[in-house]
Amino acid sequence: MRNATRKIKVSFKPKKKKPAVIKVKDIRKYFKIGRRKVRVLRGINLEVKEGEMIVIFGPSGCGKSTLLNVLLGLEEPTAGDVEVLGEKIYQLPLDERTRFRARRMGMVYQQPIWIRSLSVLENVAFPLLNLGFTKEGALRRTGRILSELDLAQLGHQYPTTLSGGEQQKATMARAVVADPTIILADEPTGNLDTKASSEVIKILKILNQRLKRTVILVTHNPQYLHLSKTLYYMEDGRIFPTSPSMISKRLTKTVV
Amino acid sequence: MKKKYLFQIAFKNLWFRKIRTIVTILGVVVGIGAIVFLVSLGYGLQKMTLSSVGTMELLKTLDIYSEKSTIVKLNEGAVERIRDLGHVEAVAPLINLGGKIKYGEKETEGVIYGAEHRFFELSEMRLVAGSGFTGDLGEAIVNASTLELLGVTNPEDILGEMISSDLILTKSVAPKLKEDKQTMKDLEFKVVGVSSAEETAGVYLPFFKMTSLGVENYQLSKVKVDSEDRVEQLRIQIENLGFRVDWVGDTIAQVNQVFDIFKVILGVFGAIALLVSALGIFNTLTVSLIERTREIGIMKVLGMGGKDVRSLFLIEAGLIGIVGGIIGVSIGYGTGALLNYLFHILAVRAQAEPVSIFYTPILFAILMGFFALLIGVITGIYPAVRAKRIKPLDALRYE
Repeated sequence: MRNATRKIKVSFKPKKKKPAVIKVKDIRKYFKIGRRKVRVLRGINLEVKEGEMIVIFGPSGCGKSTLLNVLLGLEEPTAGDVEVLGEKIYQLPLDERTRFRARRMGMVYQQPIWIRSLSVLENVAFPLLNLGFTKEGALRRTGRILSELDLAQLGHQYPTTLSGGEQQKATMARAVVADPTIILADEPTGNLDTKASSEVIKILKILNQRLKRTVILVTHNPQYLHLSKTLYYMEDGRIFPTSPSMISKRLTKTVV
Repeated sequence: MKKKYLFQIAFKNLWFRKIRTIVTILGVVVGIGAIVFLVSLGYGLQKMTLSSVGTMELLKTLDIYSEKSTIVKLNEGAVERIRDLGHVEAVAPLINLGGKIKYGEKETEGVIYGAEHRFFELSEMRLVAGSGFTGDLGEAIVNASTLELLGVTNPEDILGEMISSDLILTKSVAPKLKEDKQTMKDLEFKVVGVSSAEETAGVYLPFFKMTSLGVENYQLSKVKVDSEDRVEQLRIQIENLGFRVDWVGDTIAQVNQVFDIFKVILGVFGAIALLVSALGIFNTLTVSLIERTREIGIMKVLGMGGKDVRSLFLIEAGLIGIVGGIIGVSIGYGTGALLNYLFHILAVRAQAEPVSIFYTPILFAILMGFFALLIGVITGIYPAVRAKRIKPLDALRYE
C-alpha cells in the first residue's frame, strides 16, 4: 500500500523528489465551550515529505497539540482534508483508523503514559500485539528495538520505577516498535532536565537520519529550532513557514 | 488482539493491584461460600431426613389399615383379595395386642405383635442381635426398648433365654371369643432375636402362634408391589376395597417440599451476601476504570480496538468472579465437611449413630462456580462498556 501511495504521489507532484506523507488542506477545528465557539485551528495547510524532519514552534495554546491529534486521527477536524500516506483517514471506520495509526504512526507525548501493570518490554511490545503479532514475535522485535536505542537494560523494569528521561526514551521505543513511517512528538522534552532532553533529541535525530523516519516535532523550546531546515511557526490556530532568525526577532519583540 | 493476550494483561492488571483484587475476591468468596454452606446444610438435613424415612425399596411398599368405622376387616380373606389384585409381590400382616412381658423377676407392659419374618423384610427392620425366627412357634423377638425395662444391658445376653408373656385378647381381634376380653397368662417363649429400639416396649411372636390363639383381625398389612409404577394403581384398588393405605412416598414428597422451601430460604440469606460482593466487584471495576482512564486512552492510541478494551474489563471481572467462586465453593464445602467430621467424632464418642448434616451435590457446586463467573461478568458489563466508549483524547486529557 505504501508503495502504491508513493506512485500516486509521484504522479501528482512530478517536480518533487520525495512524496508527501502528510497532506493537510485548509483544516479548521472549532470547539464549542458553552455558547462560545473557540476556533483552535483556522485553516491549516501543511505538507510533510517522506524522511523529512519538521519542527512546529509556537506558544502554548496556539493549537499545536490539536493539530497533532488531527494528524493522528484522534480529532476529526470541523472542516478540511487530512491525507496520511495517501489515505483520507477520517473516511476510515473508527477501528480501521485505530489500526492505521498503530501501523503507520508513532506518538511521543510530553508526559509518558503507561500500562502500569506491564513491564517496559511488554509496554513497548503492546502496539505489536494490537497488530496481530504473537507475543514471542512481538517481544523479540521489541528487544531488538530497545537494544538499538540502548535501552535493553530497562526492559524488565516497570515503567513507573524509571526516571523521567528513561521513561521518555522508552516511549520513543514504543513509538517506533511497529516500524511506523511517521513519528509525532508533542513536547517530548517538556518535563525533562537538560541531559535527559538532549538524549531524547538525540534519539529523534537517529530515528530521522539513520532510520529515515519522518519526524514531526512540536515544541515551544527555542533551543530546538535549529534541528530542522523546515520550520513552522504556529500562532492562534494558523501556521507559517519560518526561519530561526525570524522567530528570535519575534520573540524579542514579544518580550519587549 | 488475541484473546489469550487479553487474559494475560487482565491477569497482570489484577495482580498489579493485589490488595484491591484480593479484597474483592474475598467478597465473592464470602458470598458464594455462604450460599454453598447454607444450601449444603439444607441438602444434608434433607438427605438425613429421607434416609430415616426409608430406602428406595420402601417406595414399593404400601401399609394397609382397616378403617375403624367400617365393617371391612383386615383378615385372612382380605389378604387373599389383595393378593388377587395382581402385581403384588408379597403381603405381610401384623397382629397387635396389649400385654405384659416378663423375664425373671422383672416385668413390663408392652405391645405383643404377631408377625412373619417377611414382615421384618418388608419394613426393613434390622436385628441388633440373634438370627430371627426359624419356624418354631415357641420363639420370640424382643425390641431393644424392652431390654432396658427388663434390666438387660447387653442384647446378646438375652439370646436363648426364656421369657413369658401375658396376652390380652379382645373381641375386635378375635371375634370368636366368648367374653369381651380374655387374658392368656404366662405363655413361654425362647428369645431368638433382638430388634432395634422403638417408641414402646414390644415383643414379636410368630404370626401363626397368634392365629392359633384365635386372632383373626390384623392391625395392618404390608403389601409389596412388584414395580414402583404400579403403586398408585394398586393403592386405589386397595382403597376401593375399603382400606386405608399409607405410602412412604407421600412422606418423602412432603419432606422434599419442606426442604425445597428451606433451601430457598437459606439460599436467599447467601444471596444477600453475594449481592454485597457483586457491589464490591462493581465498585472495584469502576474505581479501576477511573484510575486507568489515561491508560485506556494510550491503549486506544496504540491501536487497541474498543471491543478489545471492553473484553479486557469483562475478563478482569470474570476472573474475579470465577476465582472467588472456586475458592468460595471450596470453603463452603470444606466448612461443611469439617463440621461433618467433628459431628462424627462427637457421635462416636457419645456412641450415637454418626450423621452427616452437610451435603454438597457436585452439580450444585459446579453450578455455583459458574454462577460466580456470571455475577462477575454481569457486574463488569457497565464499566466495560464505559471503557469501550471512552474517547482516547478525553482519556489522555483526564487528570
